[in-house]
Amino acid sequence: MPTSADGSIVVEQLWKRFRADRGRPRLNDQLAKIGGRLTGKEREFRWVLKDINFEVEPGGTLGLIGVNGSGKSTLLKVLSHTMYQTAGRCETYGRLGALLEVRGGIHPLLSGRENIYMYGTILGLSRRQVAERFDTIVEFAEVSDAIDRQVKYYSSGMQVRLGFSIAAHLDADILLIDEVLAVGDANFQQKCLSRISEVVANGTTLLFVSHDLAAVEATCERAIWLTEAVVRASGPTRDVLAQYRGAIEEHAALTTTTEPSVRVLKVEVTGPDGGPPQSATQALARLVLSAPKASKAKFVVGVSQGTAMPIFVVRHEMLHPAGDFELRCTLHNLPIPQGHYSLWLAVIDSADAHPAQEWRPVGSFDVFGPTAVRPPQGAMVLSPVYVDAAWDLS
Amino acid sequence: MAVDVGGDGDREGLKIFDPSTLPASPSPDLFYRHHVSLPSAIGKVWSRREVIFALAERDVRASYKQAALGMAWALLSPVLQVVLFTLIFSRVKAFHVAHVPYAIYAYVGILCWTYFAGALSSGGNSMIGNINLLQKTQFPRECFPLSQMLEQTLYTTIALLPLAILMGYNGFAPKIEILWFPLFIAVEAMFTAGVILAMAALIVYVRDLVQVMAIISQIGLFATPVIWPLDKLQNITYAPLGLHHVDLRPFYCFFNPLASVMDGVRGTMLLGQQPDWTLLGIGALSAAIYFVIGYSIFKRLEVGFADIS
Repeated sequence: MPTSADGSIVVEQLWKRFRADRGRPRLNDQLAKIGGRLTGKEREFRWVLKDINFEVEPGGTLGLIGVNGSGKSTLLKVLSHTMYQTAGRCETYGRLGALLEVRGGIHPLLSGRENIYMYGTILGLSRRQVAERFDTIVEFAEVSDAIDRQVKYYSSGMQVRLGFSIAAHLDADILLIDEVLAVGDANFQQKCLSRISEVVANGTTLLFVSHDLAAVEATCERAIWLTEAVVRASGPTRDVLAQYRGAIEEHAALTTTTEPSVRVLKVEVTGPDGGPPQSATQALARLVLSAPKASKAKFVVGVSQGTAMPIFVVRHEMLHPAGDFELRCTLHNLPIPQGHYSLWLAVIDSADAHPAQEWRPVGSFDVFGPTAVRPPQGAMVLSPVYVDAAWDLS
Repeated sequence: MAVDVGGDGDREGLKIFDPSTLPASPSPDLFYRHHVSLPSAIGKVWSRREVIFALAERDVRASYKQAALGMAWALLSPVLQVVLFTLIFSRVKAFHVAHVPYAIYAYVGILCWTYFAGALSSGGNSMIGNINLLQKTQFPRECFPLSQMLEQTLYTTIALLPLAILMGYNGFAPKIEILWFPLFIAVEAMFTAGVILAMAALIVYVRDLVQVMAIISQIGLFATPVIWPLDKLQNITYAPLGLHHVDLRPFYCFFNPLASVMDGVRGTMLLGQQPDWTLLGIGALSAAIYFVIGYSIFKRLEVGFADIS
């Protein structure tokens, strides 16, 4: 039986469709449509959410990931009751705070002060509550100097900070956040993430949509991956992200069109003794490549867990012969925990900076050793890593 | 259709779903039906009434922010209207009313009318003009048109000042029957709310109504007893329709409750009469019907607001 305590979310067999005919609303088109309906022809629809099921317990954190147009934002709108579902059940219990677009409710002609009162009320606070939080909101948004200036004279970053700051101080039981951190500088993004963590630590349920996978990983225990209106995977964030990254990678491999002049024949990553690589020990990446002509080139080797964000890269410039040759890259200390990783390679011709081999994953390998320290997973992905490497070629 | 991968079987583990097993559409019994009772809807609006104030305040502040004269415009335009009406209509003998300077008589009618017309045009456009908020926020949608009504209430209140000046200039004091005033306001507000709720909702779906609305305002100014007294309908003889000395006022007030409001406000405030309870009752009943129908249309259509707009 689904829980109905404040802060819980229950979504059961949720479906949502839009009218597919976004055509002209002219009279003759409308008449044709009415005629079609009378003669029994169904109206055309486009399903944007199909059979979505999930539950979030009070204080739970759920990330929604997926490519553009997969239905994430629509799902949040239905959850916030801005839109209505076409079928199924969608319940949120307790006070709901929804931040679907930071700058949407900000009025350019009003001052920052007026906007805080206006937008705060619209988002669900009473005037008195806004007054109580006013100073905190201003301070968080870092706009105290400009608070009585019209918002149209704010930089876009300031506007976003103002909008987020209001929403971040709502005291909701459930907080829905849709891709609002994409704007704003790195500093403020970090501040927002800390604020979100703080809110979550106070027991607020969080539903978070973002393309910033590291942010999702850092804030959400569980995740749902949406593709073309359906749930493809759900579960612990790490596992879902791995699936998602895997799919993106496959897609990237399929769409690589340029014919590389350097071909990859074989990829192998081993430990120093030829066995499987171990964490925190020496590892050897052996790549058998084939080139049409001898040339001087930059070799870039990277290791990632899944998709386009390598954990570390090493590079070296050297001459390579024509024909088949083996590139050996010795990593003195493999700084990654147990898991499945991808090896990336790029070969860039030194003479014309032309990529003889595009930057892409060329193979995968397993690392044995200790598991990752769990909680701040985002930190692991975000942190730049320097790795000492030795290179040779034969 | 969910495959458990590497989990221990409960909801903690990773689940992979195969979309190909999904049906093309949900089973018919799952479809969402939007049934909202008006009292519960009104309760929800009441609990978020601060939003109505916030939206109205936002619009008032924003519309005068860039103007050099600022809020003075809210006073200036009714003053100019008074001057215009005095100049034009004091010369037209046809409409003259005993014991009341015509300018005052007309201006009271104008106030009643501009309240409705102003609320209609800004309230009707209130949702398509706030698409950003409509699609991204979650307060009761009624707040959009109702905030415009509130704003119009403010402007109408400000416009009472020129009325007072006009009365002082003419040495005319309002009668004690002005105490019935709130009753007429209630009827007018109910009617206005019903019409603009329906209009705002319909305009989201059919933008053509923006034009229709402008035409209604134009015609309404003359079709409603703004510049002519309602008594003109008291004794109608029109042979082609077989009408002989018929009192059309009750029918007209049922069709247009504003007529009973204007007639009543002028009768009490300016002429010192008791309200005509028959006409007022008909007007109130009609306004209530307009309100229920208009609000029902709104609630019926609100399901698609965020989708369609």
